[in-house]
Amino acid sequence: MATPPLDHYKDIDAQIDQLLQCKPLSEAEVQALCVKAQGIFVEESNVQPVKCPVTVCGDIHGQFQDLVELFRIGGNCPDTNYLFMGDYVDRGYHSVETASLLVALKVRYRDRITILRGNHESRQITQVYGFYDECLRKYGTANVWKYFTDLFDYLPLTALVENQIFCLHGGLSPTLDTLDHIRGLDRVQEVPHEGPMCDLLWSDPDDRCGWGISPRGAGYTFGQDISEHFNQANGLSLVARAHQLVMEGYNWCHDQNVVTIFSAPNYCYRCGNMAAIMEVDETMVKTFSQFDPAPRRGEPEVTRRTPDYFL
Amino acid sequence: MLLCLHGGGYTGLSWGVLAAELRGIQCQVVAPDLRGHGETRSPDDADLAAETLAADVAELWHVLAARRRLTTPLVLVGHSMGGAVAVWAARRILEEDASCPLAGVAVIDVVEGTALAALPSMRSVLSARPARFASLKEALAWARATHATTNPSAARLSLPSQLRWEEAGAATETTRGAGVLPLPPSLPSISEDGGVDQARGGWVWRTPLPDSAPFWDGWYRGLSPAFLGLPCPKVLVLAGTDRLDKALTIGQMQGRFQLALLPQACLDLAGHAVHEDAPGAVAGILSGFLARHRVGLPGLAIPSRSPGTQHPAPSPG
Repeated sequence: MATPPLDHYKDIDAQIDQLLQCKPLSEAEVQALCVKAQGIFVEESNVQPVKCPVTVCGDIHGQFQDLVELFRIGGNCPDTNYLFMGDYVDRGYHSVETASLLVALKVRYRDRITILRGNHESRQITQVYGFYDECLRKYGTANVWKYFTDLFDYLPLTALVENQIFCLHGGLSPTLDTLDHIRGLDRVQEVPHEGPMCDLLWSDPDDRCGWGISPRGAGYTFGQDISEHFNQANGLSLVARAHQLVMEGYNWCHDQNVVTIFSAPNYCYRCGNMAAIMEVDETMVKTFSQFDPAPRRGEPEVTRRTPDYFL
Repeated sequence: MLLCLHGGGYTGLSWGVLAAELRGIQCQVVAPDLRGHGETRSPDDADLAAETLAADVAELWHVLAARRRLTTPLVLVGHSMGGAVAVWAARRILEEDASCPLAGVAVIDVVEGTALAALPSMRSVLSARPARFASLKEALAWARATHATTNPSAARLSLPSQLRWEEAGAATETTRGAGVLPLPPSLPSISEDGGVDQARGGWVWRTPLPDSAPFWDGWYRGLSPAFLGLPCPKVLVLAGTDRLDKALTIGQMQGRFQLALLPQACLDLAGHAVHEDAPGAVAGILSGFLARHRVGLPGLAIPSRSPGTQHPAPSPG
């Protein structure tokens, strides 16, 4: 394929510059961006192959300034390749800008950035955890919310770095023994309440062996025996996942069969946790970089309405 | 058995409309009037300390369990103050009898951080309540106008049990200090109605909530870590994520309990007593929680890829 002329990217480059200043795109621009991105995601696999070197990141949750800090620490896209494991929206104040920037980067540098689906990339969840309200507030209508949530249906569920590191948002499913089972899923739909696709986005590793009911209300918990068997059966060295807040930003478990990466520092502007990213170099050596919240300018302090009752 | 604990000032009848919505689930609903509330009488009705209420609930459970030789699982459900008591009682029951079949705890619309933050304004909230109503009809109109209970059928069931008739001139501790406050303009004015004429008596609150102020802090302090520390499945039913405090935000994001947020459509109609105002939605959350954790049902069969090879899983935990 011939390289397109540089000015082919003029508009999208301008949009990325605008977004990096935390200024939202127009509704029409978001719509056009989502159409382009859908054409890219629809071509990707449920187990999207990724080459090293790559930097693997966890939950962002609309903490835009911290995403900018992440790029400052990890290197700009496309100088650094990125793999994000879902949960871009909800809870933070800038879900719109966060989702817009990541999707714009995907459209501009499709081979340099991989964006997976998290449990918050869903119509139902975003209506109670903030993204829907933010779209209404910033655009006056729910159209942008609809463009994004329609696009989220196309996001790949998992990625595979050099056939060794299996990356996804939540965790394993008792109904999915092999990567081929995952490749066979029909993913283009709202995140279901149960079943294999739900489990990939909701499950958590646990200290107890075997499968358990997740305390979250969706997905399962899986023990070290399950992780070891899954990695062995699929020729993997590691499951990298996000989904759970870990105070240090990353956390090994299951005898280094599983690592959790969480990239939203001081989650919800109140949790006091560090964030981390995992850099995988050309030789598959893994290095973690931790970071604290970016200094904030013009972001509202956390003010919560106290209920006028408590009895 | 669902042991349902009402909020401060309410009574067991607070759970009436919710219980009616729980059809389809096989369970007993036990909803006592807590000490100092409704028709329960105790040696010291004024002692509403968290430990005392938790001990009452634990004793009630032990008596019920012994009398009925219960082996059925226990689920503690609590609203507001009762939500705090549910957590303290669950802890106490497990301390007294580690083999207790405690299968779950459901807490409705109360969080330590936000409750403690609301304490300073609580006295003025309480004193804004009318001290007495001329008629139950007037009380119901007040409940609807102030969003105390917006669901009329819930209010008709729950509100009268929170009140008692007081004859003229019999002013007791209940009304002491709390002035008669202006009602919303849509209500018939008190003087026109002639209702609060001291000569005629009126309906007054059964539970003198202002007197319970010394216990408020104790109900809630340490509640979030205690909730997270319970070794059973837990669900927190809330009106919005902004109600979560730091400990519960971390706990939720670590997947340690289920957070059930009520849809905005429910909240537009509901006040603090969401189980009274949106009983269908809360019943749906509770029944989903019970079904998911197989409460009262055979153990979980973990689904496997090929339906022919399903195997019962070792019981979790």
